[in-house]
Amino acid sequence: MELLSPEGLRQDGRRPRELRNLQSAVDTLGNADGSATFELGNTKVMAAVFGPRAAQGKSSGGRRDADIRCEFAIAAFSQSERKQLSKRDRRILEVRSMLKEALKANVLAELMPGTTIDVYVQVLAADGSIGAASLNAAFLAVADAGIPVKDLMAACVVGLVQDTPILDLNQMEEQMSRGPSLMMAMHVGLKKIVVFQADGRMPVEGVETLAELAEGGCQAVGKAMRSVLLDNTRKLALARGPVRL
Amino acid sequence: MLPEIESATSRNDRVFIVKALAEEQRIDGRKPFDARLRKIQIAEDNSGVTVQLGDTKVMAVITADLEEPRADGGRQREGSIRFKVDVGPTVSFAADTTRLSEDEQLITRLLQKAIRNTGVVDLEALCVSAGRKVWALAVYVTVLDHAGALVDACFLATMAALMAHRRPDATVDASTSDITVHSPDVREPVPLSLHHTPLAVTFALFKEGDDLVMDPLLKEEAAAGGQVTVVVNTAGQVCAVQQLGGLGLSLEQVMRVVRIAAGQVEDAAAQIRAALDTHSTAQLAARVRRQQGHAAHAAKAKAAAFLDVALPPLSTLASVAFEADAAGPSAAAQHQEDTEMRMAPPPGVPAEQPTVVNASPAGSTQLQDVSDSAARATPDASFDAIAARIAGTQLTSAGEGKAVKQKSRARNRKSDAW
Repeated sequence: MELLSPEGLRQDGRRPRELRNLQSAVDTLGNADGSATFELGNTKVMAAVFGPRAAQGKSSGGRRDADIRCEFAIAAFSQSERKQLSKRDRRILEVRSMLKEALKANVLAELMPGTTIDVYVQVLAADGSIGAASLNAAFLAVADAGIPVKDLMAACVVGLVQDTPILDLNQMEEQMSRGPSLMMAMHVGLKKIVVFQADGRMPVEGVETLAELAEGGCQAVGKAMRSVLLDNTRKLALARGPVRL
Repeated sequence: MLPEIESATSRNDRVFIVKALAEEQRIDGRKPFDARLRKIQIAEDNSGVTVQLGDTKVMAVITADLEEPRADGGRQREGSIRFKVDVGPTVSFAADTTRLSEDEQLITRLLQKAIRNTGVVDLEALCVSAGRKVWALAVYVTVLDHAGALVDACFLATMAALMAHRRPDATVDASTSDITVHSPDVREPVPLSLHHTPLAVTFALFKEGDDLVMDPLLKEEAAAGGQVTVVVNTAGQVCAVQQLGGLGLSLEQVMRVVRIAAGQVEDAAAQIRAALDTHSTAQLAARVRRQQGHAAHAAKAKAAAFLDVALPPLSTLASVAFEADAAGPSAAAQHQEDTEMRMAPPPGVPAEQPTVVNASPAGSTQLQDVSDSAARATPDASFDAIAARIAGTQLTSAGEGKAVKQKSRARNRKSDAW
């Protein structure tokens, strides 16, 4: 099956450099200190943050910075085939360590010594770009919890299909495409790349093409996330009473 | 990297490393883009490869088993390859032996992505009989010592092991569709068909990513603000890039790292090739020695048979079962002395065990055509007789007992004539 039609359109009607419909919301869970949902087309991810709170566990006492812990899970019903992935599944572990390393680079952990921050990410519907969507949800939840961070961090996935770089791969494109792909997360204001995971065989110029597209994608996602955070802040400010400017 | 190592490296060390690097000096005297000394040792019996990158030491062992192909569609004609990375407890006081450590996960995943998913090994060439039996390769990567740039050493060991690996030849009988795995003494074991050679290059990042060092030491990793690993093949194609957290890098910085890496792998690949050359020469020499030894033994046995003494020493040597050719008398005559095993040897038994039967003076090296029966038939009649007697006593209980008996009877007749 052709992933790109002769007219240059993708199976779901998008153009190569088009993101899917992006929706996100913060403060979606009552119990968590910070929470968010992030939707990218049919992919839907929920994240919850607990903390910073007094150090949990035996190893985190006496640290000079906050201990950031992550859990990641994919719901059994989230994919076309109903299947519960084990917590020790490689794919789960890979995303989990990616989330942890990215958040460690993003959160100003040294401001909160002797504390633990728990980040839980749950995929509710999986339709491609799960890692990027999870990181975006996790970042929104961290921001909602009021945890100080370096910059707004946004992530996206790009791939190369029939020599055309495409943005934001869905499940079918991820599975069908044998071409290279890149998951990138960056600090959108500082323009610094935090996560760069490329795989597949490509020339050096291919990496550059993909990275440039991914940078644009991260900027676009970041812009959307920023407006959601600003809206939420505005709402909170209004809830306190009339705002005098 | 293990977080405990960072706290185990002194602050002074870390400050010094960063300061020295500003003058392009490293603590072991290298320049920023020098790699450490590489040593690649391939075991003479092809059982594994040990690689040393400075003090980082990694061993890779590959096993091949005949298995049924995966049931899901389209994979019926493909073999498989899987990786198991083990960072042992000798590596660091902080190593976690109870569960899969993060290092193990990340390296395994990177091997899968850059070696399996980019099609380094021709999996279709691992198919013996579509839908029935394919070779399943398992690459066991064991870290013996960790002194930095672990990923690079793991890739070096894995690729060297893949290039050195020989699996026994297997054929399918056209009429009965029986699968026969040939002992390495009968048919030359087959190398894997490999499409390209990806190798990893790790960089440690300092100072907002402007200062880089290639092939970092463990102390440099602890002092660095982050790491990037680039997997490139010798054709300059990027197979994987991995940067997780740490210092943020600009797009230009990432591309710079990728370009530097692309220029570095050829050197390492050339070293693997040199090690393979040395290895094959050594192996050939060893084989000649072995065959000479066997020829001497065969001569002794011949004398023993002449005096009609018992044959215990020879029968103990014949560890590989004899088997009659199923293909009929004409083929049987051709491959008179082929010793073949049905299916794969049990996993515990190394496939490379020499069999005594083939050590006849005429068939002294594998380089000669084995089916050259005319040349061997006459001088070897006595040797044949011995072989047949062993075959008769050893294999009558085996599955193909009847055929074996027939063949051994045929051989006995021959010995009577002699």
